Order: sequence, then structure tokens, then C-alpha cells
Amino acid sequence: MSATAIALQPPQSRFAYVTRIFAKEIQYEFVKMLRIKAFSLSVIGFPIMFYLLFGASNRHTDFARYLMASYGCMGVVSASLFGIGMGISMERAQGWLELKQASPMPRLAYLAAKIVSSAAFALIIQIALIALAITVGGAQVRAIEAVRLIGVTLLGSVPFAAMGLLVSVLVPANSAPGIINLIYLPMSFASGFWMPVSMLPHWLQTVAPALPTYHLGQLALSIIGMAQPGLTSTHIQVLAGYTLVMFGAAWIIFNRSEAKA
Amino acid sequence: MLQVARVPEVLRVRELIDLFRSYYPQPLPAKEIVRIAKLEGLEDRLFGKLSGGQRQRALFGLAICGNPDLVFLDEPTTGMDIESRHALWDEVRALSAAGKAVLLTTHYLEEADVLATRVVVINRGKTICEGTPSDIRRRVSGRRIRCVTQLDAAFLATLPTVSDVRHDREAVILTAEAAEDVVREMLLRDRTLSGLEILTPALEDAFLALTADDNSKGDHQ
Repeated sequence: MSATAIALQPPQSRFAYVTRIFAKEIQYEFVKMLRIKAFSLSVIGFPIMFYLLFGASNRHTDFARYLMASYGCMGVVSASLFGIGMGISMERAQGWLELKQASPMPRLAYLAAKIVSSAAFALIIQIALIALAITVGGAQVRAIEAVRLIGVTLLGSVPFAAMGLLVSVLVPANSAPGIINLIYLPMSFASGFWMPVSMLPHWLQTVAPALPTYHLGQLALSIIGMAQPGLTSTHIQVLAGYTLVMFGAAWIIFNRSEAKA
Repeated sequence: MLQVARVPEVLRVRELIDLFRSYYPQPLPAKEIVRIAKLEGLEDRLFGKLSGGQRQRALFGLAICGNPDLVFLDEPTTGMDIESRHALWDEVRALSAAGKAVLLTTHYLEEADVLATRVVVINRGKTICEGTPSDIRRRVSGRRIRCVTQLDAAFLATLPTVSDVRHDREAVILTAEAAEDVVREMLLRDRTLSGLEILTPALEDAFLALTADDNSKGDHQ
């Protein structure tokens, strides 16, 4: 656009313009995830279904509280890996990402929309699980515990968004669902999302602390006083480290594939 | 407008336009986009429920959201029905009349012929020739005469300016520079001559003559 055309514009602040892009991008990303039934129903449906099965059968026990936190973490991981990993992988294959990159959309808006939308899904899952724990599980949940769990859910979405992003640049769209399941299911089992880590085979217990999912789980479980021994600060540091490494790797690989194209 | 972009099938046409409009500081009004891309009545349709031609129109709509001065259209009419294609041609002409530059690639030479002010023919990544459609047509000399005649092909080839004689089912096709003279001569010699047609070469003939192999692509502005 020529300089004269810019001068003719009403003075619209750059901030308002960028904010608007982010808002629209997030709005439609969320709508899109919600309308893709294969995603929304399974990601929200599985933790709820499992809670109805295993939470309800452990009514009034500590396990009903445990599963509220651990299934919430499962929601975080699956929403991020499937929402972001599979989502971006598919949109790259379709050419939607290319079309957007041909427009003046800031790259960051696209990424932010994915992260915020999958965090919103994780939030929905966690709130549903807290409600189920109180009603079906007969568990005592204090308000501060609920708020903290929700906080862990939202912050925990960031490292797994990075993991999703890394998956999306590494894995071709048609094999993404399979590969994501292959990463996600063993990882969530080994990290104590299904049963406490102390009940797992010994060798798995030694492997678990290397997984980012383990540290997310421990953060959530420490809120309800059911974590393994370990420092909160360690969990946060490990997750932050994973986030940086995976974002960095994804960024480098993505830029390299762009340069090739 | 990209050639093979597929946009998320679960968003509605209205939503896609709204989203793309937000990327530009001074977008066209949504109504205007819907009108130009001929999407009236499809605004609430999910992209996945659109037909091939409707999808192309929706993508065209997204391409003009920012009210651009220069529009790139990569084979925009692929998969469109005749009506949509003509409608899109009208819009390309309207864009051009409004002072915007349109760069359009196409395999349909008819499209280049009716739309372009300048055509660039590209074959295997090299520019073969460029100019107005009539400039390019002129590269292939002569006009074509098609008729059913009893005259001998060998004789026809000796008529002045005839450069080519071919059989086409029951008829013959001559290519000649001075078509009028050739026809006059033929009518004098063969009273049974029938089904006479004189054709100016289409851009397509020029194109075939220029590329002379099938691995080719038209590209015009």
C-alpha cells in the first residue's frame, strides 16, 4: 500500500489492530476445534468417561480426589497434543497455513490462538472433573484447591503446546493421530495419570521423572497433597526447560522447512 | 489466491471472511466481498459443504479482503462451472477497470484471450513470448479455411500463400495468408464446394505452435 493511502486512513492504533487480529483468531480457532467433533468429543469425553468409570467406583476415597487432578492433566496433554499437534499438521498439509502466511496475519496470532484454544479445552475438562469429583466422586474439594488446579491446567498448557508444535512440524498430517497416541498414552500412564506412580513397576518409576507429564502431574497432585516427594520448584524448572527446548526446536525446524519451500 | 489451498471445512463463509478482514487495516466491507465473489446465499454455509466452484469463489473472496491494488490469481477458475467462470471474468474485468492490476495464471487460453491486456506464454519456466492476445495470435500466420471439396489436396497446396493442407473427417483444412484469394479460386474450380468456414486462428493455435510440446503453461497479465 502506498504512503498516501496510509496517510488517508483514520488514525487506528497499531495496538487496537493487532488486538483485533488476536481476538478474531482465537475466537475462530476455538469455534473450529469445537466443531471438529472427532476432536472435541474425544478430548472432553475421555477424561469424563474415565472419571465416571473409575472415580465413581472409588467414591469417598482418596482416589476420587487423585483422579480429579490426574485426569485433568490428561486433559491438558491431550487437548494440546491433538489440538495443536494434529491441528497445525493438518492445516499445513491443506495449505491453510500457507494462505494465512500470504496474508499480513502475524505468525504469533496463529500460535497464540492455538495455545489459548487448547488451554480453554483443558479448562473445560478440569472444571467438569472438579464438578464430577464433588458430585459423583463424593470428594471434598476446597475452593482454593479448585482454583489452584485450574491454574496448573492453564499454565501446564504452555509446555504441551510446545510439544504439540514440535509434533506438528515433525509428523506428516496423515500419521499424526497415530503417532500422537503413541506418545501420549504411554507417557500419561508412566506419569501416574491412571494410577499413582508408586503403584507402577519399579523401572517405570525411575523413568517417570524424565517425562514432562510426570512433572505436570506432580504439580497438580501437590495441590491436593498426594504428590510424590519432590520440590515444586524442580517441577516448574523441568517444565520450563522442556518448553524452551521444544519451542526452539519447532521454530528451527519450521523455519528450515519454510526456507526449503 | 493460491491454487490448491483448502481452508478449514468447519468454518462458515461469513466467518472466514470476517477472520481475513481482520488481518487488514482497511478491508473491503464484508457485503462488498460477498457481492464481488458471488457468494450471496452461501454466507452461512460451512466451507466443507461448498462445491468445487463455490470454494474457488470463497477463496477469491478471501484474496480480495484487503482491497489490494495488485491481485494474484493462480488458476482461479479451475473446477468452476461455466456460469461461475463468466461471473469471475466479469469481476476480474471490474477489478481491472477500477485501476487494479490482476496477474492471473491459467491453462484455459480462452480465459487469457477474453481477459488479458498482456499475455506471457511460459514453457518449462522460460518466457516464450509476450504481448497482447492479438499480438500472439498474429505469430501464427494465416487463416484457416475449412470446407468439403472435391479438389485434390496436392492441387490445393499449390494455391498462392497456402502453407498447410490437412484432412479433417470429410473436409479439408487449409492454412493460408491470403484466404480470400484462395477461396475465390476454389469456388471457381469446384461448384460442389460446401460447408465453407474461414477461421482466424485462436490463441490456442498460437499457443500450440509456440510451445510445440504439451508440457506447457499459459501465464498472463
